[in-house]
Amino acid sequence: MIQGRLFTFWLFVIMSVVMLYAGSYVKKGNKTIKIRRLTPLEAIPEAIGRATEAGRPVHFSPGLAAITGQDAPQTLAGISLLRYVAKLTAKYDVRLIVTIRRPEVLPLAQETIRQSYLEEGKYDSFANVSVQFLSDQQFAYAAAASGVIMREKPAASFLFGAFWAENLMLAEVGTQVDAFQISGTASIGQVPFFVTTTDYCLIGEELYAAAASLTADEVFLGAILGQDICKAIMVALLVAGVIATAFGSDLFIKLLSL
Amino acid sequence: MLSKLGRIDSRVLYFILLLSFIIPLLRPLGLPMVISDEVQKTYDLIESLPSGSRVVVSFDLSPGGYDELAPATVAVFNHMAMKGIRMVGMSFWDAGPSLLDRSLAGSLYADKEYGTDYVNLGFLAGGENAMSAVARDITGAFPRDFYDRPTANMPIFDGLQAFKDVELVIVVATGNPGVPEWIRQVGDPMDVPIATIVIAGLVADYAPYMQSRQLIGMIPGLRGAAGYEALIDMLGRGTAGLDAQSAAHLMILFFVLIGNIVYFVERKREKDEADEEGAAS
Amino acid sequence: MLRTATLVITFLAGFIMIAAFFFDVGFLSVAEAQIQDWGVIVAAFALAMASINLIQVNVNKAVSSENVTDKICSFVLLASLAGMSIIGLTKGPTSDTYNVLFDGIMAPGQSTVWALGVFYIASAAYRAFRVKNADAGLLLFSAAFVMLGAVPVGEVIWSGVPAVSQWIVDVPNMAGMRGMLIGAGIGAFSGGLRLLLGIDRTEVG
Repeated sequence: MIQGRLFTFWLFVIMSVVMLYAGSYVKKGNKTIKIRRLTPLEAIPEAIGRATEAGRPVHFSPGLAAITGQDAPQTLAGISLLRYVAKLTAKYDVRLIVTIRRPEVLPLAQETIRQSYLEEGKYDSFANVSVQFLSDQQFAYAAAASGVIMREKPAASFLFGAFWAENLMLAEVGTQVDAFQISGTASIGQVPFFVTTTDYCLIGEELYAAAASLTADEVFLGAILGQDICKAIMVALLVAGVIATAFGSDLFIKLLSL
Repeated sequence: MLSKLGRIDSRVLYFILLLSFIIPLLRPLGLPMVISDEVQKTYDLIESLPSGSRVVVSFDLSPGGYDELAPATVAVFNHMAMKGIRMVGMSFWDAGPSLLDRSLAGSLYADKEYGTDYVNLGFLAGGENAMSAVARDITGAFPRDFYDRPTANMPIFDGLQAFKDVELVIVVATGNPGVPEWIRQVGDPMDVPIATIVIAGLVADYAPYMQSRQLIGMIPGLRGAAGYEALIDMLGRGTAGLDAQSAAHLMILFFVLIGNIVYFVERKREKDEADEEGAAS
Repeated sequence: MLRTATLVITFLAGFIMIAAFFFDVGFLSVAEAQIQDWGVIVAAFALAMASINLIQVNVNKAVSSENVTDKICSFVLLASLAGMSIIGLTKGPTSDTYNVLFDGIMAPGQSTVWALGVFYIASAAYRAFRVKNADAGLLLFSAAFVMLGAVPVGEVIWSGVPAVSQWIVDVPNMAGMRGMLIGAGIGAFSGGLRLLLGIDRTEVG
């Protein structure tokens, strides 16, 4: 075991066991769990409906992060939501424009959309989808995506994934073309900008919950239950740590550096 | 009048804001300087390092954010050069090495000896994985520098193999990979102090690391640069831009105020109209 | 068959990376380094594919778009792409020509787009930051203190502004940030575990 990672290892094991147990608990039919609705997710069909009526396209960005590294889960959650959006655009024959920053996200997005159109029996309409790699430079992407939004004037713009300083620019340009905007990010520092400038926003872990909710029902409920138990464990550890440190004990500091 | 304000063209706001930048730049207001705790801590740490210490500077930034960070970077480089600290520069963002060159050229390191007092190792792909590799073996991961010269025989690397041999890591950052990755790969496991020169937009993200002491110093954008310039007594672009920043902040708050006045007046009018319609029916 | 193979590869790669993070075992470190190298190679291929996509989309626009602006933008992009690639490949990133293009076009261009952010903040401030209820009022009050506390003019207005601003950043802001960070971290963990174990197959099609 590498020095300093013992505590993390056991936390990893405990969290994995909790998540898997929660999944099997729900799968066995113990579905007595009530969860709150995710309004931004429920607004997606409405946004696409508006685009259908207006005869204008839909814009989607899966964020600026790659599929490796600490922000990868956000990109993958964005791709899950892209699958849902693509199914709806296929169903209603609305033009879908996807702007991509990371090269490795491009084939993933293309394949996800192709699969969605196949599943909806609308493969012929796949030609109507425009998946565009713009630039792997943050602000070159932001400028190009803003240009695409300004020129194409989408009726709905979905921004789901990891975003940084460019998020306000994308959201404000969307506002200027009067797009119905739904955002979601776990990039905590950027949440306030999305909250104030888009119509609906998935805040932090809601992004992951939204992505999970698009999978099988029991998988989603299991994931939510597992996450909540893990959060309870974290809160307990935090409270215990604060109390121990307040009373002069360095037990938790030692524990964390094991 | 107020309904016109409610529908004001965004470009009018942009123009007013632009003026609020330009006027203080042409006629500085001379507002008093405030040096924040995190800037003072960074200064104190560099000040405490003996001459000949080696500091790694990781230029993990995009060209877009460079202008905000350049004044602080040059101020820190000047301080390090004055103290005789040796600087090992590297980057995990592709545009980083060229930007590092620009900062070095504008600082006192320009008069120092390359390969002995400072070095620009260039860019290494792979983000956090690459950081981990460099932390274990610097010249192994960077066998050649930005100018394609071999690094192994450079005097600056005598007795310096891994990050455990450096006194401080300074991350000049506009995003990820950046500060959290360095903390995970070097700060926590190797117990090397980490400081950052960071864009103002990321200050709230990194503040928890300051409180947990995983970051020992933070210089936020232009405001931090102005403070650092005052500490080393070399006023530069940071100080010059500070009045403009003050004016812009005030102007944005003014926009919020006007926007809210318009909102309340229009809401009241709509309510009154609805009441009148209700009374008429 | 292809889907099963994808799931097996995903699981093995993820398992090796996790195991190498915790255990200092020779073969695990070698496997981890290999996977990372493959990742770089895959990313390089993806970049090539993305470049082809970029060229396809913009050649189409340059040739067949009815919009003149679209045509001009696509033509400029293709010319810049060709020019920068040729100079980068033949003369290298430390050559004078490359530096002139980098310092004269790329860096100032990106700085400009970055700087435009402040104008978007201004229009968002005017349009979106409305005191619709008590929560929004509290948000606005905190934002005003933090903004004023970040610049010298705050202290000129009232000497207590920097202290109040610092308190807002250090206490309520930090508490909220940490809560969201922990929640988002656990969400990411849960998503990663489902992906590795093939419970959630959304990302593999």
